[in-house]
Amino acid sequence: MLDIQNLHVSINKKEILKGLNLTIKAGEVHALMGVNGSGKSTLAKTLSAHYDCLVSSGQIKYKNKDLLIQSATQRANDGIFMSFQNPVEVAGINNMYFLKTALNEKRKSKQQEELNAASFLKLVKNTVKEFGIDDSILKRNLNEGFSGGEKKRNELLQLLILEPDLLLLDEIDSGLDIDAIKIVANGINSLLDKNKSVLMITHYDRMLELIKPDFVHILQDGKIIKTGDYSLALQLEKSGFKNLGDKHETF
Amino acid sequence: MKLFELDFKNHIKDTIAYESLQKLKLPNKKTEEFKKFNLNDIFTTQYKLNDSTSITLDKYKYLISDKFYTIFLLNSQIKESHTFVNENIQYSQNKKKCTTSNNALYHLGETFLEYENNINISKNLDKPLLLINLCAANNSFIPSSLNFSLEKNCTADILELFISENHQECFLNVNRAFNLSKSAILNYTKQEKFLENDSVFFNFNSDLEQKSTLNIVSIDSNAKKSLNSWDFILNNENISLSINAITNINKRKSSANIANIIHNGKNITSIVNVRHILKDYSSAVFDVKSTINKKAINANILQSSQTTLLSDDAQINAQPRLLIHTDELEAKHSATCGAINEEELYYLTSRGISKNKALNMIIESLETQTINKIQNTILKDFVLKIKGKNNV
Repeated sequence: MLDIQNLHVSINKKEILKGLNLTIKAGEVHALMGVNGSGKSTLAKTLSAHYDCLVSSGQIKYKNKDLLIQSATQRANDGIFMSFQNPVEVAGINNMYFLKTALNEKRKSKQQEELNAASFLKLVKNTVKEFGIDDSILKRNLNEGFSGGEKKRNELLQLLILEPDLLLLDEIDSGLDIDAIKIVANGINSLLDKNKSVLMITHYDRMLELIKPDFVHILQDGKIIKTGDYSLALQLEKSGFKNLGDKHETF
Repeated sequence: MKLFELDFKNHIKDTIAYESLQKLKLPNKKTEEFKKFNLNDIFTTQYKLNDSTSITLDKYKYLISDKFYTIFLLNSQIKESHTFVNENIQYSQNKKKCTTSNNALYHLGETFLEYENNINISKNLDKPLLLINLCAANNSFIPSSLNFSLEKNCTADILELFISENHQECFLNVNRAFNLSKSAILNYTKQEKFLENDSVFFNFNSDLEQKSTLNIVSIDSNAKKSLNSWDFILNNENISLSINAITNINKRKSSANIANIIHNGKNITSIVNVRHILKDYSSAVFDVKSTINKKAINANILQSSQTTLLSDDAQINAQPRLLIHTDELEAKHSATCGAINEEELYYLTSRGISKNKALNMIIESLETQTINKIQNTILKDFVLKIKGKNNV
């Protein structure tokens, strides 16, 4: 699904990613861990065409197509969904209006019929009910005045409605209490099948307990220095990043 | 007739207004406030006076609803009303009284009017009043005048919707006066649906008694030239005045909000908050002068101009001015100018919305922030519906 080769990315003329390689196959769940500033969020932002990220070299193939020539809109409509660490507040845009527009843009890009208001409302109401999401966020403006937890629930709602193929989760667990983490994990697990993949950025393993990764990668100074399975996350939890050793192991 | 040449004496209906106009003189190129808002082309255009054209009222009947009292006006003359079922709203047309205003444009309109229209509200209205102003004229100068009066302790929500079906170049000079008795509260909204050949000047003045509250929301768009002239002398105590306006224009259109607010009484709050969204070669003027005289202690004043420039060629000329002659007050003034928030734009595109659509959504959201100042939710929803916004 995703193949990243020798990726170099700068932000504000400072190189953050320095030759990163990563392959994610359909149906796989990957966790990306690393100290602050190692480049985890930069990778997620690059994959979703954030304007800050300047790719100086390397290539990214997504569904066997060159991802780097695609706009953020095209990437989203082709199934990439970035769950933001701190989603921006957009005062004045109603959350439901936004979500309906996004869903219908995606459907349009796939030559599917647009959903009318009634069908859309039914879909959203069923979704919030099924996953225990507080429906008060629906009537409000997009993330405006939302608490950290509400923002993450709103990201989850978008994710469930838009049904992406590649989920980029940038610390979706931060700011959530344990019950909210379970709701989010439950929602994400419900989406997963052999065609959907996840790249999950996290500092802690509580999310990884609920969404079991197939692979765990350690990012350091813009490169993946170690790759393992879930046990690597458990090892990190015990001993921290300092005791990983210098040996670079990639799969 | 060309207004600039003042060769319109045969049409004068109000000689006192005409004398005031002569004394005050129409703004010329040298007038500071109009440096970025040239009126010369209007005053030198050849207009007919009130050459009205036919209009089908039935076309707009869909706007009538049980949620409002509704009055239709065609070129400022009442045509059809659904209000007379309510005895608390009286509409009348009387011989004009002398009006004092320092605004020459106010007297310009009055000069050509023999009668003045009055809407008097005597008790609290159980639902909002909707005035649908239909403008249908041909290459005309259209003066109009309407006074709103609220009796003591009375509260009302009023929306004036202006819809144009004008042909060729038309110039509307619209005078509105608010007369609020003690402790009256008027929430007034003005929404425009003008055409690109229309030039529209709104001239507002007021007589506000003590403890009265006037909340205005003004939603401007599309007219070639649009001016809101807010001329308020606040003589009584404990008055609250707020003006929230939005201008969203493109091409070579221009807009101005010019306010002259004088605080003479104690404990007066005045707020002027204008948001501009300027595309292409459009330009806007924000010229707000608040004078707080010596006896006007404990005043609370806010002047704010917020501008979003959507092109390198759009222009804003913002002058928030405070003339303070007293010590005890709180006053803030600001003028900000910027582009569209890139992070907001990116967030919308990252969910699959095209850049153009996302941009329009953000612009709409800026408008909605001003529309949200409308306190009555029925009116707010109606205004959003007219704008075609946020519909799921």
